[in-house]
Amino acid sequence: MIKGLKIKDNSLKIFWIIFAAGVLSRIVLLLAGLAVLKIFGTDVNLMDSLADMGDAVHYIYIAENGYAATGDAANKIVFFPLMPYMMKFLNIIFRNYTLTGLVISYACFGFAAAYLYKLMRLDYSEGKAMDALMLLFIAPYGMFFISVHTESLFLMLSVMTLYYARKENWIAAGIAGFFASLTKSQGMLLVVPAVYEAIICCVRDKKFKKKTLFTLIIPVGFLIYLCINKALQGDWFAFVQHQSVAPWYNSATWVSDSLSTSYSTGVEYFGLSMIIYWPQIALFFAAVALVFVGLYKKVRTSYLAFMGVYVLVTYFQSWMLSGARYITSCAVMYIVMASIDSKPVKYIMYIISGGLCLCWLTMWLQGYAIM
Amino acid sequence: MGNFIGGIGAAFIMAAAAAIIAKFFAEINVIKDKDAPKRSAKVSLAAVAVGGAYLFVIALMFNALKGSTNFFDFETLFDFFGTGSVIEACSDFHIGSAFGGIMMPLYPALVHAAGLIVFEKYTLIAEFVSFVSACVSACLLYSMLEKRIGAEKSADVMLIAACLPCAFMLFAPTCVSPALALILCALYALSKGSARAFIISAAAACLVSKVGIAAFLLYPLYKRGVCGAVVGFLKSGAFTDNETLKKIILTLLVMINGVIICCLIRGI
Repeated sequence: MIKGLKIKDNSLKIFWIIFAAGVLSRIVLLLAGLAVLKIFGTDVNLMDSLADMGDAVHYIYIAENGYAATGDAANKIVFFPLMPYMMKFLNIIFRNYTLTGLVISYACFGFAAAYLYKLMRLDYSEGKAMDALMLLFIAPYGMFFISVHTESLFLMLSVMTLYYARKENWIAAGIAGFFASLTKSQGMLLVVPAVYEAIICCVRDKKFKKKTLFTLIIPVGFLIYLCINKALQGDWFAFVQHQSVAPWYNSATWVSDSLSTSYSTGVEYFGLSMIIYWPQIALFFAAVALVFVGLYKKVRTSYLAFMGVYVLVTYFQSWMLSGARYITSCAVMYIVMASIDSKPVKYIMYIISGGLCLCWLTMWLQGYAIM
Repeated sequence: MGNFIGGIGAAFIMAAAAAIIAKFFAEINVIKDKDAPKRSAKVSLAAVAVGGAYLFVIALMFNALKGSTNFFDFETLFDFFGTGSVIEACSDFHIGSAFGGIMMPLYPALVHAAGLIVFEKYTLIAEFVSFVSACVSACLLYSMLEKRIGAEKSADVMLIAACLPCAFMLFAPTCVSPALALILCALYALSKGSARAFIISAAAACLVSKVGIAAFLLYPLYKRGVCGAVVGFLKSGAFTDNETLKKIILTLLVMINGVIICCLIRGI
């Protein structure tokens, strides 16, 4: 029940209320950022900014033109297909790729919030579920949920996968995870919590359930992406080749090397350190610390397993620029933070999150290189 | 500083991974004893703390005696123990040379296989395996002792064991720690009366290290009551109830370890 509304938790109405709150939170955040810029006398062309920010320009290009086999645009194969092709499909309605991308982001964020609430209510009180939502709404790198990026879509699909795995709806979990692995490379890692829950279910009931095998379709999305690489450019791992050269210069490396490079680059490029390198180092340690907090607070182990492997794989990058963004779209962060009982700690989290959220949003809208 | 942050970060996340894996085994009821997970967590944390302390001391002494080096450069720090050749054997391992190398094949095979996933970081993997094996050894030993002599006496015995001469070798990137873990697995299996588990553990210990043959020697020793006699001595309190004796022994052991580390680093 939400006090004052007298609506039952399993009602569709509460789902749509949370959905609306999620969408509204993005609009409010965007308006708040614009208001702060107005106060400081900075003018920003909103639609142009949102179309040019970060990877948005690439997703819009792929939605308009598709992947390229050769030429300068061939390197756009590094971007996973689900988001741009959803934009291409829904552009029939909106007739503007930027607007379509924004609608997808906002709608997916709303659904992510609604599913996160439902997921939290499986184990926690309404108060803690609301805490998780609030922490999500004021996440420091939450601006990526209001632009044409895959963060909202991935967040929605990952929360859905966790929710349906908990409800032992293996088909739905498999389908959600399958689409997540078509959204981001980390999507295939959802097979970890899904299989974890499947094993727990089979051990508890002392029998093997064939439907749990549907969880194994999660990494198939990634295999389809590899097939696209092979079909277009003749190499299953063409995206790896493109990522290792300009403009990304990124390859797979061990976590310690990734953190070490982040530190040394942050020292060298002090201007970027406060918005890119120090936050991604800090968020790495915060995320791993939250795994231990989650173990102590007895958060569902499948969630922690997902967060652990997500953080590990995310930081397998030799020259990482978007670590903070990736960590922000890990739903388990908000679940563990909400599970903390201490009110002073909660208030500190709210203050730091909210403050950084607004600060980085205004910098991002002005064109600072927050990636 | 960057290497230090990277090293700490990697250690942190690998510890988290190990904790989640342990929780998984507890949740699927592989471990029947309800108190085992909590107890194992405490003992493992203590083992990791001891290992961390040894690494810190060795790094400090190395820096003082041989010059500055990265605290996380395990291969250099343990070079006096021949870890260079161990890591080389792991990185160069292939099926054809399984039994022709300097080591028994199971350890280099597993480290090499793990290296294919973890970016060929063989030293790091070997160090991780050593820490995990040390935790497993500590948990098994504590579990066997606690049932027989009680929690307090077991803690004292574990502390003494952690300070035995050359105990720091258990935290070196070599096969010493996994071999000990498998030998203790064999002993644990004997104490539980599980013949199949004993044979598998003892065989695995032999495939990890030539020292693993000691696992098979446990059987006649166990049957002749040697283990029982040791437990009886510990239970009698002649050693564990004497606080002064324990302090003297601990101090001597720490000093002996310090001298051994110093001599080995200097190449004496």
